[in-house]
Amino acid sequence: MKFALAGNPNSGKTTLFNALTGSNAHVGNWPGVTVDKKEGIYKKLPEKVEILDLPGVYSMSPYTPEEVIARNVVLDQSTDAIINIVDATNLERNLYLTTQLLELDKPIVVALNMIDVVDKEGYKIDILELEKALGVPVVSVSALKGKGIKELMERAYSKAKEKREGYSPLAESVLGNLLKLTTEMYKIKGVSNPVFKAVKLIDGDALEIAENPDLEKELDKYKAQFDVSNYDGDYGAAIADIRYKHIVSNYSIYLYRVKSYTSKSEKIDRVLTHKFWGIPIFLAIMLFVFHITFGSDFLYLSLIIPEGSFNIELIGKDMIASPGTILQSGVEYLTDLVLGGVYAKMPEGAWYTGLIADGLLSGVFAVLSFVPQILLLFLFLSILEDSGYMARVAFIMDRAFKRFGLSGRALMPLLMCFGCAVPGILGTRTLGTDAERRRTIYLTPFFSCGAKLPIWAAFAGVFSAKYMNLSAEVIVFTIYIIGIVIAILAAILLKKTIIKGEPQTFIMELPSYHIPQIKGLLIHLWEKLKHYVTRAATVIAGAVVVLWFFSSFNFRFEYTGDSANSILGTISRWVSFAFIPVGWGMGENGWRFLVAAITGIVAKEMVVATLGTLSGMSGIDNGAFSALLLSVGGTLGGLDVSVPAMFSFLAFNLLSIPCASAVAAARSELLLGDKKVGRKYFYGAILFWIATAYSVSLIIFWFGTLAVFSPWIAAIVGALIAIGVVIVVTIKSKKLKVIEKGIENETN
Amino acid sequence: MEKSLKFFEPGESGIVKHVVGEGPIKRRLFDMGVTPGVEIVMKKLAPLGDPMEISLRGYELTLRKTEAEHIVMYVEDLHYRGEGRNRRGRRTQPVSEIKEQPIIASKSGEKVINEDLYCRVGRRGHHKGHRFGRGRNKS
Repeated sequence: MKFALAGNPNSGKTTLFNALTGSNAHVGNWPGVTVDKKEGIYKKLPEKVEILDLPGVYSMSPYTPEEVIARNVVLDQSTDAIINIVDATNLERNLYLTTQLLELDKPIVVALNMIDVVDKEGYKIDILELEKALGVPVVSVSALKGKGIKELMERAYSKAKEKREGYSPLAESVLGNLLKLTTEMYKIKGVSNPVFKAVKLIDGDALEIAENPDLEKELDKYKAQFDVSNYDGDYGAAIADIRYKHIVSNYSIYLYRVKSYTSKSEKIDRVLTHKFWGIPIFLAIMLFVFHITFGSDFLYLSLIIPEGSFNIELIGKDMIASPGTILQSGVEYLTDLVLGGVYAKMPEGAWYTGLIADGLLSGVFAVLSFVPQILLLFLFLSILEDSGYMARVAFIMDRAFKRFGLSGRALMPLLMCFGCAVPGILGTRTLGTDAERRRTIYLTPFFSCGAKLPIWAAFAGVFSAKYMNLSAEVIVFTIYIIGIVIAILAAILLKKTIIKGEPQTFIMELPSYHIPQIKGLLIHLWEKLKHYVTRAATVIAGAVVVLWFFSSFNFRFEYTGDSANSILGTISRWVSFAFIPVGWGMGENGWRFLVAAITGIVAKEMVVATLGTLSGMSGIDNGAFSALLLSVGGTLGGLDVSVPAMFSFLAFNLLSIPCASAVAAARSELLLGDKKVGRKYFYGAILFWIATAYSVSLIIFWFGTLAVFSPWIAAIVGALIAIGVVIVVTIKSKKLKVIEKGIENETN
Repeated sequence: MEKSLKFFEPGESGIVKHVVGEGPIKRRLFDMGVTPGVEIVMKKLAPLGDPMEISLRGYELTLRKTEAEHIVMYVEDLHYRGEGRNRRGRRTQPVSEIKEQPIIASKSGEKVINEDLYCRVGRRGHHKGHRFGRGRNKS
């Protein structure tokens, strides 16, 4: 037997699903779309019942992929009954979906959730009367506490064996006769669920018309006889209105107000979406999340801990590292132990030692050491999502994103990318449209992640020591700013060119705040961990081995163990000329920087490690290493262009292809849905990243060189460009204001 | 008086007259319960001036001003004097043009057929015992 679980988003559907199926749930994806498909089994009935969790929808109209899926499942013959979860605190709007489900010829049971909250808010629901009015069983449940679930399933089970005929509120309205006629047409044709389908056809539903074009023609004849002038002849408007009016006069009268109450959500929102405090509070929350995940001095306790009080490995000297950092060092400690053991057991210099220890294990471990922090970031992302705060973030920040063709919902995943691009990319699932999702994924590498920081730090340290007027913070800060500016420009460019997409809408429910459910969070996190580790073991391990092969074998396929003479080193020498225009490909060390940038594709920490190896000495803290870094770019026409070349190299590493884990994540997210189209977008992304990195590095290098040659000319050119941009922007916004004024005058 | 939801100020409320426009936006608004006759309270604007948060049918919804533009509302016109122009020189509309008597659907489910539309709606806190109450506005 098979039950489908249907309901609005935020109605507690996932919680109920978890309570019904426990840990045996299976999560996949609906073929063709990026929507989670969840299946599980309920075992406490005489017969095993398969539970299918439908995506949360507000309606059965065919406008979003979620709605189409939900509709196909409820119409499917193999679905024996539908459990409709209804959020009692939001009865009217939730029952709107119920009125559509009731039109099906299928047994339906309504699970009235969150009844305890309704009590608290000073309302009372007469469940027996509601059941009578709806004509289907209504069971009060608490998905969170697992109350009422047994009764719900028992009633659903007994009802599933009975037959039910669809009922539509349209029957009692001005459209009643039209519905009767249309239903008859379907019955004659022998289609199942005639009432549901008839209503959809009257509604002008595109899917239904495509399925039954003959009936539509016939219906048009009837339609002329009915007067819907109240709705400007719009049947969609008429039907929605009839549904809501029916709900208000027949169902929601059983909701009584007992005492007045200001909801907690409203009180919380007074602070969290406050005109002035909303944005600062949001930034503070984000800083705190990053501090817990990446901070080395938790809560700045080093300020109060006296010097010399303790020095514990993994935790810190006179300070306590943040939980994320402790976990990360813990994993690193373990992997180092393993790696040390492997090195001790294997002969030095043999090719297989190189493959297993230097290649496979080092590469995979470098990626694995980030797992705790990625998961922690993901945990926070889920908590913020589940609590309802994420919707508020989208609300307060949407205006800033609208111009770039994104909505406020894209902000959170993008911010996560400052920590790690992987949770950021996986977090794009929640975005509204495919176009927005793709655009956001394209932008993710531009937000400098934690693993790229060592690159900036190494260069900033060496360069600030040589060029006294260039402080390390300024270099690092500049890189972050370059990333953000490029992300903004790229978003606009993408919107206008490759990923146009449908016009953005931002009509979103602001759900009530509630405390996230730990069980659900853990299930979610466990799925992500599985996903991530499998990928590290497959895709990333594969990439690591390939890269190891190219960097340790020469063209005669002899093991060299030294990347300078390897295939990668030789090829880099040949093609480094392509990077002469961007500056850092120049000079005798140009190819070394290229090798470093390429190894960065495995994991960005490898860039510095590779440069260390290529400087001739292993280990980083030596003169040869800083000499190599300082030699970037060399001289051009007698000018020392190493500073612009350095910025160019850093920008290239920031903007080009991210690490293997991020690429794998981007691939799996972009390939969801239509595989063919997805693949196109994935290769598009790779090209886009390389092209962006190259052109930005080019501009930085040549503008920088101009500045070295003559700061005055550079300043004038820069100022002219800035003025041009400001003029264009002001003219545009003035035009908009004039248009807005015009509209205002007209409506008044 | 008719007024687009877009121009509502925080705290202002009104009743939906109709939703204009085509396709998905309109459909989505209907599905979210923005149907003729429902009362909407404009709660606040986001810190950057857009989108807005509104409250209807006992829940909160956010939408951009460009979407709010599709929603035409009835609001109280304090200076209503029949067809012609009011004190401020704005055009006014006779009651007969309003085809349907709006229904105020409250969360408690009480259904109020609204005989004195112009007194019920308007800025929150204004409507009860306001000096331009019933007698004056009803023609």
